[in-house]
Amino acid sequence: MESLYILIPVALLLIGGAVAAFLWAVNSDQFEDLDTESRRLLFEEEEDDNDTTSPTLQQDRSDD
Amino acid sequence: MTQPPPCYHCGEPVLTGDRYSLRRENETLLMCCPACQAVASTIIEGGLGRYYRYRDQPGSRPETTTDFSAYDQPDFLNRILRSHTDGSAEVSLLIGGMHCAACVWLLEHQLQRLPGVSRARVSLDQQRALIQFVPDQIPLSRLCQTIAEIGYQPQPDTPDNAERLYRTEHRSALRRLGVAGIGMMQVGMYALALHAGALQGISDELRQFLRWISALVATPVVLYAAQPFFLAAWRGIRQLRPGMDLPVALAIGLAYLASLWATWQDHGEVYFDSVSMFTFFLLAGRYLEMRARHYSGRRVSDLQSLLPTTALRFAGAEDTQPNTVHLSSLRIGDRVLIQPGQTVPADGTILSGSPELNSAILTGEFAPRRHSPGDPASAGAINGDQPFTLQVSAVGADLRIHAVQRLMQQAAASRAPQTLLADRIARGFVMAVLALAALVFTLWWQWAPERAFWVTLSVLVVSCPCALSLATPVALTAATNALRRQGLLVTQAQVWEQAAAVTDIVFDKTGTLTRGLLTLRQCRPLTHLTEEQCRAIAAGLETGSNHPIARAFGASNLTADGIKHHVGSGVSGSINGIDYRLGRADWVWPAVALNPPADSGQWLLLADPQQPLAWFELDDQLRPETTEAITALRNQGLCLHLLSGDPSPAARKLGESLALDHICTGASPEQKLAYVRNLQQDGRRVLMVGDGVNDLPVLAQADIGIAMQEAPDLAKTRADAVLLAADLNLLPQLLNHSELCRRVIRQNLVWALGYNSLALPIAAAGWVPPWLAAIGMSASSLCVVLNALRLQRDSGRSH
Repeated sequence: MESLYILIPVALLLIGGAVAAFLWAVNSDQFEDLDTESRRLLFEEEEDDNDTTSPTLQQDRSDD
Repeated sequence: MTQPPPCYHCGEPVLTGDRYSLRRENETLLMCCPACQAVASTIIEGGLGRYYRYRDQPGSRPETTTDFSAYDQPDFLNRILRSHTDGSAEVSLLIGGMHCAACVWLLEHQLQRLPGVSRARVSLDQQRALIQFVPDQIPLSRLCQTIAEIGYQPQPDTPDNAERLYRTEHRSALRRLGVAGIGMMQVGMYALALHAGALQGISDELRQFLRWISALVATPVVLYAAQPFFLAAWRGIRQLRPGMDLPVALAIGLAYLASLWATWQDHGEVYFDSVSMFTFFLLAGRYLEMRARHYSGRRVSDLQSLLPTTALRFAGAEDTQPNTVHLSSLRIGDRVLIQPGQTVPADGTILSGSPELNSAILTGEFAPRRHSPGDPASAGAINGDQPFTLQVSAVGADLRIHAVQRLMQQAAASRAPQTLLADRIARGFVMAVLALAALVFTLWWQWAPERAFWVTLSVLVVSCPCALSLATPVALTAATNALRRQGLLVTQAQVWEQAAAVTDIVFDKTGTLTRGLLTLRQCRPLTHLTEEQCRAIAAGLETGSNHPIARAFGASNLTADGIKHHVGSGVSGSINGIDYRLGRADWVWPAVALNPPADSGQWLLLADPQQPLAWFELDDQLRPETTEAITALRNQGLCLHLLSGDPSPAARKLGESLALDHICTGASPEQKLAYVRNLQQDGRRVLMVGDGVNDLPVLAQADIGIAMQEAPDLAKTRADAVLLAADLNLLPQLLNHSELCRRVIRQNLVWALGYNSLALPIAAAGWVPPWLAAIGMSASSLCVVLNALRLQRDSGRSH
């Protein structure tokens, strides 16, 4: 149990880091508009299959 | 009777057959108007037709395109662009008309493929787009043009809007929530060890160590995250109106201080885990409420769109020809020219001209008033018949109209749901708990003084204002969210309490029961003039008016001078030197009582000074769901009224065909107000549904006022709810759901109070250790929240 005397303060330091990261994320607007981002994944998937006309997108594909 | 097919873009019924259509692969897509057709073809031929598969709501009807060239002026660009040294720039644009993630996808793709645009990021929450581009390669006006072509309305994002407030509020709430959440989980772990130790044995040093660590972690939770509760409780005390925040603040504060004391003294119980959990749960509840409030605030009070984007400014004192500048270029002291039909762009003093101004936006007064040189005029007022010049005295954030908006927002925020039943309960609750705690303390002090303080503390903690505080807001938020998803946006929380008591529903006619899209059904000329000539004259008179009647006549190449709108009667003006009148027969040709060719339909008469020229029949269709909605409402036992300003027999016939209980036509706005007041004086509770500025006073007078989506922004801001989806069936649903909501709130309150009543005697007897208090509190809060979540599922029909 004595190890707790070291482990808990270490954990608190980590928590401090976590809180700092969270505050940074909030302040840099990363929590704005969560709804669009979740749907965006669905849109991007289909793009390569269906689109044939746009030159811009063809250019993207040739890049990889 | 077959239903007309829905427009492929906006979903409104297509009444023009296949006049506006597109072919795609093997199918023909039908649209309702040239604007929808233009937007749909831009989207589909641009290769972005997938948009129609991704979206989950129909689009909004696109507005006619505006001229964005004023956006390219250098001094305006300097103000709204953030330029970088490499020639690129960023601009933030407010985008109107977005409502789902597919719109975001469409906008981003369309913008990113423009040459010169390096990045476009659109946020649905904030309704804005952040675009990085090279101004030399592509002008800002072209960006705005592109946005308009796919059916959205762009506006520059200027500092004087509520968005900044929303963002700040949201971020600060999230920070507090995060700190409380992380703190709660940490303290929870230590508390688990302590509780286990209490049951199984733990070394004294370790117990003290864990207590001190818990105190350390709980301190920022109480001092930082729980601040809003203390501030609100203090405000409540100062105003002598304690609300739900007072018991919460007391519980958190006292429990924290007592636990600190216990840790310092190494004696007694600690409640850091309960305190952290209180804070977190309550902050979470408030956060969800705030999101709902911001959502409705962003979509309803968009006063940006009430002001024009450009103005006519005289460059110098001697200048006689004004040039078009952007609104934000106006400065105090500028002279501007306002033409008939235009909106006043800034606050100021009238220099020349005696215009008739409609200040409904600011005052709610629907009748225009005549002003003279020297009188003040406010931004947002609509000019009637005369051009006039104005000397600007206030611009930007100082406009009266923004002050009005801020007042309304403050009023909305302070009328938070807590001023309802729960608050009345809270006051009684605080008194009861404090009295009980004092009683417990004195009793224990007699019996076993060393335990008195700790038992009293456990009474305070266990009395758990947590569940009680969550009981109402969670239910209201869940109900609001459920109905909002179906298209009814409730902006005032007391709607839920009052809707269940409604006895009468009063409907406006045009635009509410009917679609408000008047079409010209036929023209009967009375002289040698052809139908087309008569129509062109009428259209010329109605140019520049946004009234539904005006739009029915279409466009004309005839220009009319001296156009005057006579409220309730018609319009007059002169074309090529001849005076014409168009409107109600008894006003247009008062000499002889002329009867329209038929009894049904709305008939307008066109005449010049010598003779009546033509009859026009206007046709307004009922909304497809009106009959069904009326039947549902009647089955709920409500008394239904038609209260219309339309004096024609057609209005009465419409009311009779729907079998409404009371029909009143040809009512002036004052008469409408008196009608509703009379009903209320009889003890009836009135719900009013309307869509025009003329309905503003009545909407405010009614117990619940609901504005249609097409209503002007002022009506929507002052209404208690807005019908975003054009579906009157949401009205019976609102009433059903509000009944359910009331039941759920009552269940929650009964449960919360019942739990307290049960737990208090047990705590007073000294049998509740801290771990039991924490469990009891979490469990009761969970029950209340789960019960409220039922409201999000049981919302009847889904679209």
